[in-house]
Amino acid sequence: MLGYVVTRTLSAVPVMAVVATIVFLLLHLTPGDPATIIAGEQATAAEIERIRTTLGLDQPLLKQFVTWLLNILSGDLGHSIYSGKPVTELIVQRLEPTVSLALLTLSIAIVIAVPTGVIAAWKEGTWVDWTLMFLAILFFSMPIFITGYILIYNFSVQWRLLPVQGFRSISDGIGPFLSHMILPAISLGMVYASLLARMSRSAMLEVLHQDYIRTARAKGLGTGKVLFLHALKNAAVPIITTIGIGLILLISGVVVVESVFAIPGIGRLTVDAILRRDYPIIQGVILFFSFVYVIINLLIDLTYRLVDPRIKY
Amino acid sequence: MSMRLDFGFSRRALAAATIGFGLGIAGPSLAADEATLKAVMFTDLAITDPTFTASTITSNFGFMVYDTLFGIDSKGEPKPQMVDRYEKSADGLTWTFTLRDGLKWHDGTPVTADDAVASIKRWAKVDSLGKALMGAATSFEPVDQKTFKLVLSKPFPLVLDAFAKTSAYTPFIYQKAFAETAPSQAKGKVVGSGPFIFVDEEWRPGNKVVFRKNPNYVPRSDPQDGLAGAKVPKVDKVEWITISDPNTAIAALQNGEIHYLDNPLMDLVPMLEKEPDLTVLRIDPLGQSGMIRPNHVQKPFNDPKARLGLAKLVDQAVLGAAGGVPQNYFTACYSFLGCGTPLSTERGAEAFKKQNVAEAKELFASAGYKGEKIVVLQPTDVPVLSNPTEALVQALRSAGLNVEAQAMDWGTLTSRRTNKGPTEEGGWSLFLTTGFTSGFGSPLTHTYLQSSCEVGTAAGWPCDKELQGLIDQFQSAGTRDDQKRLADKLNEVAYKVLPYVPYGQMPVLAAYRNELKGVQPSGIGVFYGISIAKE
Amino acid sequence: MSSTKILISSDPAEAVPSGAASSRKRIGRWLQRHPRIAFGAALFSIILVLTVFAPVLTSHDPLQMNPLNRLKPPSSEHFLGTDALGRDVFTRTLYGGRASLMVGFSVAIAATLVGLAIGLVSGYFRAVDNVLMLIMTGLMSIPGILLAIAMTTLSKASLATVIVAIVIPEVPRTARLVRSIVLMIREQPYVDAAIVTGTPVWRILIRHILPNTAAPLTVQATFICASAIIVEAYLSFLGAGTPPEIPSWGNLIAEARNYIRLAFWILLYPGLLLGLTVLSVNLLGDGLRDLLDPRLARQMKGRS
Repeated sequence: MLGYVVTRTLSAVPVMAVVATIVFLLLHLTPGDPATIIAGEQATAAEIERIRTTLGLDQPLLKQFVTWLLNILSGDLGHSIYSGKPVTELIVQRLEPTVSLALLTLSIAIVIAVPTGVIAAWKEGTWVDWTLMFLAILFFSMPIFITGYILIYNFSVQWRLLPVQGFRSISDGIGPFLSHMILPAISLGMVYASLLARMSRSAMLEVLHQDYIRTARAKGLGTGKVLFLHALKNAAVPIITTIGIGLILLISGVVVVESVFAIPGIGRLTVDAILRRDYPIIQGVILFFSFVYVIINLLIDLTYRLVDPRIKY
Repeated sequence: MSMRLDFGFSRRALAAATIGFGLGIAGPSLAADEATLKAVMFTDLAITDPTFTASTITSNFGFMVYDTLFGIDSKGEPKPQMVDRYEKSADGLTWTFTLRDGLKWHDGTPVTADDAVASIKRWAKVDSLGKALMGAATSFEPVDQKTFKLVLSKPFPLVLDAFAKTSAYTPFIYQKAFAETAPSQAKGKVVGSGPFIFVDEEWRPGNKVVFRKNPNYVPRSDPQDGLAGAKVPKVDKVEWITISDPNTAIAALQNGEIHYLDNPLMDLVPMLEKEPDLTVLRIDPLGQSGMIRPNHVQKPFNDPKARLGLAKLVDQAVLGAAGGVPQNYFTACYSFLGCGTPLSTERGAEAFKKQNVAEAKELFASAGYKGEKIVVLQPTDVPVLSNPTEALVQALRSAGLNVEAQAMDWGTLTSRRTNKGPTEEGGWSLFLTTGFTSGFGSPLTHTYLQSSCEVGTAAGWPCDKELQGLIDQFQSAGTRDDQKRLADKLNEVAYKVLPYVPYGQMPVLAAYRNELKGVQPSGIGVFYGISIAKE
Repeated sequence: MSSTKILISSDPAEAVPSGAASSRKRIGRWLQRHPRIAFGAALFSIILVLTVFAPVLTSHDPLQMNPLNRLKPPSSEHFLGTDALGRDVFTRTLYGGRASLMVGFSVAIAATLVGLAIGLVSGYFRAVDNVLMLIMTGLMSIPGILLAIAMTTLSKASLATVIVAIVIPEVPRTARLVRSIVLMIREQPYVDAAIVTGTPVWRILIRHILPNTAAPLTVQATFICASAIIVEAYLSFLGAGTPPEIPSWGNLIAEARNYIRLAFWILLYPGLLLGLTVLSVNLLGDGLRDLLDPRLARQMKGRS
């Protein structure tokens, strides 16, 4: 058991190393010169040269890479070209809105998707199944900003029921928090829910076709009990795996949704950095999100093992 | 919704109810002792050193935390601000300035003449008017703790205008140690002496900038008038919130989530004017002027004929409309010295009042244009510039020019435009920008008019001895009539040299909620003198 | 391999022209049994016709501006109104599909080919397998949109850059799919026999392995196409995509967002057409998947 935990954890290390390498090469294979950008409008050639030296940009690539890796390991993702603030600090500042949005989206998606999937599987082949799955594919196909702007247009512009702007911390009260968060979470959640619903349906179908479920139903156990107690429990693992893998979708979606709803989270930080070509931030955010993704999926894997010892690897 | 309406709720009351629910601020439920004014400025603050960048938002920032020696009043006259009194010798060559009492840095130390001199010298290295001033000076040194002296070699009529310059670069006064670091390197702490204190710990770049009232600020005794007179911070806290989506910003203002919106999207201004809770104010009575800036040192616009061709392609009304400026707010203007200004003149502009594609084609041909790529910088994050840029690109293409529009944000544009090289090496051919018309009133303060052939001219680097000669003559032009005659001549020459092509005059607007009291048309959004009325 | 044949006949372009009434009936019945393919194909064909024949369907030029006539609501002159520069929204929406579909197709083809190559190499040559798969896993851990954004930001904006930027994050999944098929087929006795008799590697790959990847790759390519169309729109929307001069759907939406209060239609119509296009491609992919390979269907369920 412990052996597995150690091996699985170690297996994440080379993946992270590959991610770091890709991100490093991205910046260094570009034609632009960061020193010139950092030096700004008034800089003389000598100043630019000095900045280049300070930043170590005159060193051989391999040496720069090693320095960069060591910096990352000590939690230093570099500094913003413009504000001069450490990228780590900027990310931490923006963590709350993004995490709130992600968690709320996740909750909404699970609450909608799992029952949908279960019902669709139960009614396999009927018009209920067909309709639900068509809706799933429809919402999966709708670009997030279209859903987002249609919601904004109706709820905020036309009916003035909800604020369009920004973010309130949950510490300001649950009401303000939700009124700002609900539309973005729905726009993003629909895509994710569609994915989860489809996965839940097929996982449920597999279980429902197994003998013990048939036996349980033959014994006359109530539908609800069979579905949610027995079947869903056994379909949980593939569903949770999908939640983990789908996180990548969620992360990409966050960038778009924060832009549509003007939420000051990490996604918005990324977009601002893109517009200004603030490379250290772009680099830092990609690295951050990738690591989060790898770590969460690692945790999900480990959790199975703890929860369900039957799983063999 | 409609059912509830039948029960006698008005839509507005309902909206108000939900807004109260959706808000943490401004409601009576949150009878905070602390008054926080929330504003959305026209762009996000990226750089805090006003001598490092000429971007206007950094100037706005400067007016919050720093102070200036002089300030322009509502009539456009420079009036003492940090300076208590000044004396001018009879020949106008020796100026002695004395700082007023009670000036203190935010760290508690007193403001000295040393600080002032070092700051002005730092500013003069980057600003065109500053350069001209220091060029005319033989010495500029502190005399004692509070007095400093400027000695000129020749009369310079704009000494006070220079010290009171509103548009970037603005000559703010810094602490001496800060003022002695090169602008490109000073990213350190912000210690000002102005009415508000910058709270660095709460600065969230891209999200909000926080200022606290400076409790130790000693305002002047004369009443606030433009940027002159008393600067009294009346709210405890000012927050600049970044909302990059203009619709969201306007919704936030309508819903009372913010109090003040700088530069609302022009298209939506007529709608805002109908809102009973809001006021739309021209914060600068003269507004801003559009400029199409060609690159004078690279092909094809290094040839004056190509620039004339460019001017022939401009239809001001079309560019204005493209920028979303409502028709009643837009003035086509063919005066390099601005319209509505004392020296306004349209001499020499007749030939450019109508778009003429055929003539433009001929002009480009005679300039030897052979399909070289024309790189147009397009700031996609500034709708009032981005859309007119696209409209201009279409006009250029209609004349058979090979145009490449390169999309970028304004910040990137300001760094790209410093590249003097050919387009193949990251250079550029033209971009659009606007300037405060008030700065156009005198040729000497008009940055984009300068054609001095020096490195210091603004990006675009026009170079014309005759035009610059005319500009320099204003340093000694005495009577208004002399100035007028000179202005006529200048406009005529400028329409031949075309340091830039004017494309009309638009207002600079701000919209605010009516609970704000004391908002003045100061030319630039300032937040002292404003209080929030309790409901 | 019979499945590949069915796939070909499901192509609407080929299915329709076969003139005989009986075969038309057969196709009709077949489509009835596969409503998703039928609906998806029909919808997609309509959109394809609309975009390809845009110059015939509208007399306006998608780039022709008329700022004095901006933000006008739908009228007989301008079907869907005009945008912020007075351009015809209907025309731009149709033309916008060209860029978006071009990106979709190019990415699908390129990602499939590159993924196929990497997958074949990785599955067949054990020596490089570990390294290649590690790189693929690393790539998959980077959020695709962010990776694409970084690439388009760092290089010059052009349609080609956008395509490359979307292809790279799509490659790993295809490579993994191909690899797993290769590994499975390698174990088959007839492949074993071919190896033993000294058949050259390239011949084994082409003759035995490649054909088996055709069906799953077709399905995969369909999904990649749908995803690429969305990602292009996101990139352009965020200001890191197709150059703004090219009227792609993403660009139209990005330009329109400032005006949602004044002219919601300039955002709505390109947005809806974008959504419908993606829907039609996803429906096609879904239907094809169930049709071609039920086992694959299970494997791939839940794929984005």
